[in-house]
Amino acid sequence: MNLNNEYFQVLDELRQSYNVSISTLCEGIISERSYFRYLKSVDNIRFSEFNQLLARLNVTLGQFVNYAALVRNTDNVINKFISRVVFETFTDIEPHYQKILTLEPEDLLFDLVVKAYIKRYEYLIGKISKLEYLEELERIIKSLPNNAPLNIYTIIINVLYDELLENKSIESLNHIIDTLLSLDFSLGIFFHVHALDILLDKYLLSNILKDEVKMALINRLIQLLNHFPFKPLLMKKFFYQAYMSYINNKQDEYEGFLLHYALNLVTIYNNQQLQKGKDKVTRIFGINFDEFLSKASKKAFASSLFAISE
Amino acid sequence: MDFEHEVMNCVEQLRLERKMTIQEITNGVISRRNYSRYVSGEIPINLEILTKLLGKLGVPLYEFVFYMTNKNILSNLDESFFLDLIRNEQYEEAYKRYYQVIKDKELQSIFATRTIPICITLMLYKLDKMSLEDVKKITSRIIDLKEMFQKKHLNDDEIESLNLYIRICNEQDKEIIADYLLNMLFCDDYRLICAHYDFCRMLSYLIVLSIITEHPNQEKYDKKQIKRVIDAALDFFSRAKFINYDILLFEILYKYIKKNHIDNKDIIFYYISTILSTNDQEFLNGKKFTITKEDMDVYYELLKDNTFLNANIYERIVNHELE
Repeated sequence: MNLNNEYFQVLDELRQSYNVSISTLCEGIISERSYFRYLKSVDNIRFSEFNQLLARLNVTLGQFVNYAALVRNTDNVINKFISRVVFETFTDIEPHYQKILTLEPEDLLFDLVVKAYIKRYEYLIGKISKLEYLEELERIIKSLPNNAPLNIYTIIINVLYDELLENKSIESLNHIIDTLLSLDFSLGIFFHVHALDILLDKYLLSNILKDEVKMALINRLIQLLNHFPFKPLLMKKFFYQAYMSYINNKQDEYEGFLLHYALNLVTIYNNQQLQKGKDKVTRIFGINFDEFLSKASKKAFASSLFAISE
Repeated sequence: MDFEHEVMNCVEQLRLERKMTIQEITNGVISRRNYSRYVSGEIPINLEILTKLLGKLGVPLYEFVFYMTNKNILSNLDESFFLDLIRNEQYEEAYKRYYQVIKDKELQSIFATRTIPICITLMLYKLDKMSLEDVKKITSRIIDLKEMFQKKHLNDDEIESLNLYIRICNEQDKEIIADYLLNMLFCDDYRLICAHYDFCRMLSYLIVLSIITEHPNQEKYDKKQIKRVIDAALDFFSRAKFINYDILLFEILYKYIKKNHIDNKDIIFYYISTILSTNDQEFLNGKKFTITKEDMDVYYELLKDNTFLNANIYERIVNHELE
């Protein structure tokens, strides 16, 4: 069954659940005969006609594709798997991981991105060593189209590779950063965010990048994170906002942002991930995480946010 | 711009961004001439050709559709922002910033049919610019529960409109809405057909919980059923991890445990920590959250409790009865 036919099957399923007859759905758009043809064969419907059929059911293309992804499962599994690897929250990742391993590749550049994230996950859980992960990424990079201009998929693969290089960076780092900062983030916005986060995590305290480049990365990341109402990403935004306030000596602001970061950290993460976040605070700001959290909470209770009753 | 032209415009943009020649993108798919005709809108594109062209760009179809959806959102931000403010009960701000723009606009977003019209009505009512009688007349034209609930699926516009409607509807309608959404959340043959699936599912939990935990007839929704919904909501929130809306969830749970004299330290901790986890002044909207000194002690106690901190998020609430 090709994708076109698969989507048509999903459309027909929707039609039935909406209790809409084929004749009502098709009227003025396509013939009923054509409808059956599309449903049963590999004939291709015009995209605008497909869209009109959806509109008759009062379904937008975005809603349909999202729904089809849930029904079809493949696309949804990939998104859910990758987001869990990015957030490093693994409590319910295993079924998605197992499912992804069974998927047929579609020969897209995107497949290489998925492969890279599978390897990242396997490395993070200790299934493969750092060296194995590095070598796998090298193989993926070698299979990227030669001399092709950078796009977000090739960028994230290169950034994942660069992350593993200790005390050195990938040759094309500056070019990657320049491209990352200038690309339209509407496509693959999630990978834009992850790439920026990885780069900042590695280079924030180093001298490899100039300060103005670091600031550009931070500002870009904060800008993108405004589009993501998710706690693990908001947590990152607070961290970098705290950092900006810290280097600009804005004490109250810095403490406010860091408190928000700290509380997201303790609620979302536990064990190793929680400790990693605490250590990051100590490393960047030179403070004891637990003492800071207690002190900052006391201050917050005294603020106008709360009314304390007996 | 018609739909196909818009689609091909997006494809062209991606091709140029990737510095691919027309030869490279069309090779083995279609002729260069036909590609130009698709781009100009002279001939219409079909799904198969589109998928193949996207394959040359290395972009899955669903990613491309999200790209187009994002572009639609970005070009109708006024409607999204207006809805955000109304959702957050910031009626004056919504009126000041967006009413003049929205009221005569040809609405384009996915919230155009019901949600934005209800936003406008609700806003005018809350600002005493419309009587309750007029509100009821207008909302009955926008929301017909009988018609909406004839089918077993809802979309973004319908969920968002219900979320607003419960602020002004009567108890009977609230019960109808809660019963339908309970089916939506727990029965396999009900579906959410949403561009923002997770967000709509989250709103569904909040709508249901706000109704069933406050319902005047405690026999209609018993403790067991409420716990079932709470557990499902917490499981969902633990995976979706939306910001700010966990405050609304724990506000409902906090009120519920206080009203029913239920001792649950975890809910108290999460209620306080969700408030302290955000600095979104727009969302917080000058609210003051009332807690007790005892609640504060619970908070500090759990901050030092490694068993609690090392448990998975919300795990201990889900694993225990609420008595």
